[in-house]
Amino acid sequence: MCANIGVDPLASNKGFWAELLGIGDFYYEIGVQIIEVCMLTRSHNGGLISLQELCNHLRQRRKTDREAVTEDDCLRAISKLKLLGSRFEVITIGKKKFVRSVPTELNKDHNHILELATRF
Amino acid sequence: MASGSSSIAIGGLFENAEVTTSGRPVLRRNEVECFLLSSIDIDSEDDPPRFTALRSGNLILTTHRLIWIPSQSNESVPSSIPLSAVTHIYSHKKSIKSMFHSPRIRFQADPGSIVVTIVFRGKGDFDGFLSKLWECWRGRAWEEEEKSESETSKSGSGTVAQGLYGNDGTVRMVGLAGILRKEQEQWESTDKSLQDAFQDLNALMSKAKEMVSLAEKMRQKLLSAPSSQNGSTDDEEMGSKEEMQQWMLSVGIISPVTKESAGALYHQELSRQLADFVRIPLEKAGGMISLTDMYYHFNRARGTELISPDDLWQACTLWEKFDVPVMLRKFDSGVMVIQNKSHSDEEVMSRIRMLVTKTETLRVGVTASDAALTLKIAPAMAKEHLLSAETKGLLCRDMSPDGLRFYFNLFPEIDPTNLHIVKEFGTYGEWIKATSLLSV
Repeated sequence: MCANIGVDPLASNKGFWAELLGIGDFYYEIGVQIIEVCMLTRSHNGGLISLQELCNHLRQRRKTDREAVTEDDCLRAISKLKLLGSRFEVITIGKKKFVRSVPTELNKDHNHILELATRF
Repeated sequence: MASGSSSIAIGGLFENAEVTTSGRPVLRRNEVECFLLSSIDIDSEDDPPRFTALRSGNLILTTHRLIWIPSQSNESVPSSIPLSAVTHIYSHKKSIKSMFHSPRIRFQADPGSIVVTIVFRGKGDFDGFLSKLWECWRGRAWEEEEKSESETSKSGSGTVAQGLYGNDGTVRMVGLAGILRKEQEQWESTDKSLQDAFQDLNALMSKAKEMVSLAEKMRQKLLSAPSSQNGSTDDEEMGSKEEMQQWMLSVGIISPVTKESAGALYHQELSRQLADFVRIPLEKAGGMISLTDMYYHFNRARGTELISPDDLWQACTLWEKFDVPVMLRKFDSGVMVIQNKSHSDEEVMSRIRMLVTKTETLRVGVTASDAALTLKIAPAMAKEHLLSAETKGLLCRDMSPDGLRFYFNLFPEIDPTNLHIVKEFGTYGEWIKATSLLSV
């Protein structure tokens, strides 16, 4: 039904307690949406997406939301997802933060290459 | 009621209830699960007893039936009583006596006015159950179904009224005025149903079906007007994304297990439901799916009743206790996947062996992506398989600037007493042939 009207059922607002304790449906919702975004964009970026881009995708998805999704919200939601095996991880390359959604170890060389690439 | 006479089991009252392989009841069309209690006995009040008592099982209340499922799969079979057979629910008398023995609910059921007693041996929200039972019994969901069925058959075979009078005796409107009036009536009824639906959530639930069809109609209208929204939909990628999301949202779970309905048994029931649900995504993913993907699929199917990653993990770990065809597997690297029990390691290993003993791969080895292509699984999963094959001694690794490659392990074929003998047979011999081709 929701799909037909074009509403995502996962678009509630976060409450006070949710923000304080990191629990509640709000972060689960974001978690589900993060997985969705990562699955959809995996063919373009190979499972590595910058946190900023991820946030933009999420905001687009939840445009009816009164409060925009912040990067901090994403980080919290991802930390919840870590429990499901080490699939999702936030890595810092240069000054930017990236979210890795495929289980590969990035070694020093990889990181260095990515750091160089982000400069252009 | 017709459903009472079609029963086959004990005393003519119980019907056999279908259950899934993981022990969840198979619900009928439009049937929704409402409440669940554990450690329930079902007794006969009459003397001598009119049916054999059912001991220690889970009782599930749905909008149509009371389903009793034994907690251990011993000789007793899952049974159900259609709520339509219930003729009277006795009110619960509070007395001193009732404070000492376990709470019970009595009701009378057709055929033959058998008095059935539900005895609660364990803890649970007894009052909540009673009120839900009343609600479901009064709701008479089964009658609505019959009604709608008879309505559709009526409208299907309904005769077209001729002349000035319609079927219901009102004056038929003809011509332009008739069309206009019809349109007006339609609008009014749409408006009314919209208002009714949003009055409160319960009403929305009961109106959900109409709303869905209405929403579909609106959507169709929107889509058929191409000029109205050309900004967002001309992007092809956008379209495919939408399609994907639609597909995701379409495989819904009608009656999700919630903390509210299952209470203390929440994780157990969730685990069973997950085991039933996981089958289809698992087949599509080739027998193995990562826990994160499953979390996404499952929550999308549940719609708004989200579960936390922690709940999912607990539900998966509970599978060991039940007899379900799937299992949770943790790889050494920390990646957790769900796989079929039939999806055995031996099969995967034999396929990897086939892959690495080809002439071409004997020479150059395989990478995770090669294995992924052959096994038709995700590269990450393929890598895990290769690593576990290495642990078993099937493969050898070669770490080079090219990346990680795996070769067939030839060391077991080398004779330690005579290291330099060149064998002309076995995989060793084939390997020599393959590598000598390269050097020529």
